[in-house]
Amino acid sequence: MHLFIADLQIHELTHFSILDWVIVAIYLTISLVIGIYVTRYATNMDAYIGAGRSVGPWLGVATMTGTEMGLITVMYMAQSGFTGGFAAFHMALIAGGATLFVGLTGFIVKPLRAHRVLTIPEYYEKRFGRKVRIVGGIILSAAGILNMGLFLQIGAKFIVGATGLPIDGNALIIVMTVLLILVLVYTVLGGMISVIITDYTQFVVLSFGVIVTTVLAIYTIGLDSMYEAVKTGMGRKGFDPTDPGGPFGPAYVTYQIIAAGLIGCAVWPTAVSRALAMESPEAVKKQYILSSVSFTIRFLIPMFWGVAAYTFVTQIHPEQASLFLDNKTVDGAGLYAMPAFLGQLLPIGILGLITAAMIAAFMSTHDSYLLCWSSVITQDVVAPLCQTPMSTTARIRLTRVFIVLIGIFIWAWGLFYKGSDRIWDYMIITGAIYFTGALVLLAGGLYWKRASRVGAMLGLIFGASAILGLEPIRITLIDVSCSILNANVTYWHKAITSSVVGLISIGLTLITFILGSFIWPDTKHHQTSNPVNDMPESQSC
Amino acid sequence: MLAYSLIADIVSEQVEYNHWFTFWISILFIALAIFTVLACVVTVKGWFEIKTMLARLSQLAKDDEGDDGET
Repeated sequence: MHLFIADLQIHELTHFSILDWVIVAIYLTISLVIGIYVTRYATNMDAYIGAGRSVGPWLGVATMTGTEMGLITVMYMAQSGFTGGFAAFHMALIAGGATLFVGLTGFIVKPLRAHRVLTIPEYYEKRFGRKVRIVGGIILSAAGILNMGLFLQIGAKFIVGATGLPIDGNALIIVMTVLLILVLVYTVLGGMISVIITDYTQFVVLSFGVIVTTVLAIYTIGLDSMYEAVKTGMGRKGFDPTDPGGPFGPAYVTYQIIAAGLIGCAVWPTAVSRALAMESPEAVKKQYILSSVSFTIRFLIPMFWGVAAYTFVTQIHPEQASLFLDNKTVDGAGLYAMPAFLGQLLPIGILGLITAAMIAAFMSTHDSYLLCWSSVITQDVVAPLCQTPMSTTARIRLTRVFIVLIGIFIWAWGLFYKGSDRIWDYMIITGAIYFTGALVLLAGGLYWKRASRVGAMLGLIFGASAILGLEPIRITLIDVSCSILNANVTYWHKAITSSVVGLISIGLTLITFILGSFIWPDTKHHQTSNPVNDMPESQSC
Repeated sequence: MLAYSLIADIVSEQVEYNHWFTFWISILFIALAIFTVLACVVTVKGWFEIKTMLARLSQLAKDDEGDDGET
C-alpha cells in the first residue's frame, strides 16, 4: 500500500508534454519502417541471424552498445547509484576493464569467431559433441528466457513513470503490449540485419541523449551537492565499495569481476553473437577495445543519474524524500527515483528525446535477446534433434515462431510475476545458471586440449547449481542446515550471500570439469565439422 | 598520485571521502569525454559500414537467387 500511494504521487511529478509524445512517436515509426525495409536482405539463415558476417568494427560498437545498454540496465544501475552512492561505480570500472582485456587479448571471442559458428552451443558440438550442444542449448535458452522475464515489466514501468501515464490503470499493460508488438514485427521480419540497423539509429539517439542529460544533471545539481548528499546520507559505504558495512563488500566486488566483467562481454550470448557477426577475428578485437568505453558508460552514467536523483530528493527537494527513501518503499520506489528525477530535470522536448532514447534502449535489448534465444532453440535444440536436416526456410520460419512465443511468455511473465524487487540479484542468478558452465566450457574448450565430453557435461550440470543463490532457495538451505547443525542462522545469512554462492558454484564447476576430463578423457580428439549446418538445404526436417 | 592517496588512505584506515569522490568523478569525466568522441566517430563511420553491409548482403541475395535458378 505504501508503494501504491508513492506511485500515485511519483507519477504526478513529471511534466511530459504533447511535443515529447510526438518525438517518441516519430522515433518509433522510423524504427519500424527501417526494420521492415531491410527484410529483403534476409534471404538465408546466415544473413538472418548473423547479418551475413559482414558487420564492420564501428557498426559492431554501435550494435553492441545498443544491445547491452538496455533500459533494464539503466534502471537497475540507477537504483544502484541511488542506494549505493559513488561506491556503485566500481561495477562500471570492472565492466570497462574486462572488455578492454578481452579486446586486447581476444580472450574467448577471437578463437570463437575463428570457428565460424553462429551460436555458442554450436561450438559445444564442434568441440564436445552433439549431446553437449543440446543440453547446453536447453540450459542456455531456459536461463536466458527467464533472465529477460522481467525486462518488459521494468522497461514499461520506466516509460509509464517518465511520461506520467496513470500507474493505477491499464497503462502498464498497454505500454508493454504496444512495445512488444513493435519489437516483434521488425525482429521477426528482418532478423539480425534489422536488429543491427535499428541498433545503429538507437545508438545515435541514446548516445547523444545520455551525454546531454548527464551534462544537465551536473549543471543543475552540482558535484559538490552530490558529494555532500552521499557523505551525509551514506558515509564511507557511499564511496568505498569494499566497505563490509555497505551494500557491496569484498565478495560482491570479486563476483562482479566475473559476472559484470568477463561474462558480460565474453560469454553472455547476446554480446558474443555480435562478435560472431563480425567480418573477421581481428575486427572482433577492435570492436571490443572500442566497446570498453561503452561498457563503462552503460553502467557509469545510469549510476551517476541515480546519485543525482538521490541528491535531488535529499538536498534540493527534501519533501520528495519520503516517496523514495521510506524504509517500507525503498526497494520498489527506488526504481522510480531516476525516471521521476529525469521527468523534473529535463525541459520539454529534451524529455521526449531521452524517453525515445530509453525506448530505443528497451527495444534494442529486446530484439537482440529475442533473436538470440529463439535462434539457439532452433539451431541448437530442435535442429540437432531432427532426424533429417532442416532447410534454411524451415529454420527461419521456426526461429520466427519462437520469437513470437518467447515474446508472449515475457509479456505474461512480466504481467503476472510478483517477485522480489531486487532485480539485479534475479538477473545475475538466472544468468548464472547458464554462464557458470559456459565460462568454464568455453575457456576450457578453446584453451585446454585435454578437455573432454564428460568433463563438459559435468561442467554444464554443476554450472546450473548457481540457482542455489536465488534468495528463497539460499535462505531455506541455510535455515535447514543451521537447524541441523545448531548454528547461528543470522551469521550464516550474512556470510553466505548470493555472491558467495556464485563463487562457490564457479569453483565447483571448474573442479568437476577438470576432474571429469582427467578421469574420462575422450578416446580421440573431437574437432569435427558441424554436420547439422553443413547439410544441403534441399533436405528438410 | 590519486591512486596512491587512495591506497594510503585505505591502509591507514583514515579514509578521506573526497579522495574517493575525486577518483570516481575523474573516471566519470574521462569516460564521458572518450565516449563523446567515440559516439561522433561511430555515428559517421557506422553509417558508411551500413552501406557496405547492405551492398554485400544484396550481392549475397543475388547469388542465392542465381544458385536457385541453376538448381
